[in-house]
Amino acid sequence: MTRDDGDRAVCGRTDAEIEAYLDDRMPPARRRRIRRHLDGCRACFERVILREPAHLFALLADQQPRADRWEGFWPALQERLVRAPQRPVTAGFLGRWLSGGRARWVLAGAATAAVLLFALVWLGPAASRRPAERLPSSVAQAPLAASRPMPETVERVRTADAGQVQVYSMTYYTQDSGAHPEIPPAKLVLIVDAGLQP
Amino acid sequence: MTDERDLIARCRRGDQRAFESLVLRKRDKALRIAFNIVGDEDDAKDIVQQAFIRVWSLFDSFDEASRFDPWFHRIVVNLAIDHYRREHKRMNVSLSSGGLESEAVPPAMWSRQGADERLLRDELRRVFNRVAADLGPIQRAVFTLKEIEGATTKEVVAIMGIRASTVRNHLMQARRTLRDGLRRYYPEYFSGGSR
Repeated sequence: MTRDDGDRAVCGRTDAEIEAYLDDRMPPARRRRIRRHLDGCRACFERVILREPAHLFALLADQQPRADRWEGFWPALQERLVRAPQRPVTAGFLGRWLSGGRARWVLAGAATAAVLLFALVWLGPAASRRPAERLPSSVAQAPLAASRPMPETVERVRTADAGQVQVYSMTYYTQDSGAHPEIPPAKLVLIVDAGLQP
Repeated sequence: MTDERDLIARCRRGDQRAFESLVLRKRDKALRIAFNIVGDEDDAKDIVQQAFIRVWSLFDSFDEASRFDPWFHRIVVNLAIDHYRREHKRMNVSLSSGGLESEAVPPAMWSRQGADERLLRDELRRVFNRVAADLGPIQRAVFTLKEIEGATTKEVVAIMGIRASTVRNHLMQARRTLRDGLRRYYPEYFSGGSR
């Protein structure tokens, strides 16, 4: 087979595939091969523009800018780079590691960790705190632990009917209102334990 | 490709010499894309400069595992589309007063031996600017990437962030508009000697 025969064979195949090429109904690799052939084969190219005149403008792809077109381009670009906002400093390992898609995952992980930490610190103790220990918010800010007194226990004996005796006890402590004198002490009685003794 | 990855890695570390090499390597195609969208060479050069400035400042958000060209061309195309939208009205006015019809060269000359290729391409450029003035910016960008640059639909999708079916629709509409423009302003392109 001579070179001309080979060329004619390629041209024949291209001619049969022009419609599919124009309608974008072929794999990208095949499309690129046809495009390369059209760039070098004027006869096939003219057959394509007869079917689709707008394809004529594919010739604009061959246009290379003249070398002198780029004169002064790099110095001007450098000057604009100096004036442009500084790029963030990420020259270190961490910066490079965080670059690209990783930063998003790290941020998401950090946000999740923050939420979990908040839940542990605030919601954990709050969930196990007994209702009796809950104080008005203004009191809660007082240093309770530092000023908490020793609990006191009282035992009371009561004579019940028919000569029976009941003993009950109550352990409690009172909170000195300290910096919150406006709060009546009676509201600060915290019952620790109470019950009937046998 | 490995060479380019290395170049990009050096750019990301702030190596300006590497960035200059990258600019030298990428500027021609970027200029062609911008030029075919905005239709003015000085504006296109300015867009390419802006694109490189963005690349430099956004390098840290570029994922090294992905390809540089679609990312870079997306910046170029978006800047060109924005520019085209701003300047479209002015361009229409200047083109409509340009009187290009008399300068048309019949398509037979495209295959004539010894013809001045540059002159013909400059003429083709003027014809394109005239008939493409009726295209919307997205249609013009799709046509530039697909028909002039020979990008696949998948590549256009990656650059423009639109669906493949939308790319095909824009391409069909662009071809129709350009065909109508050629028929209207340059009828010799239909009756000319390519047959």
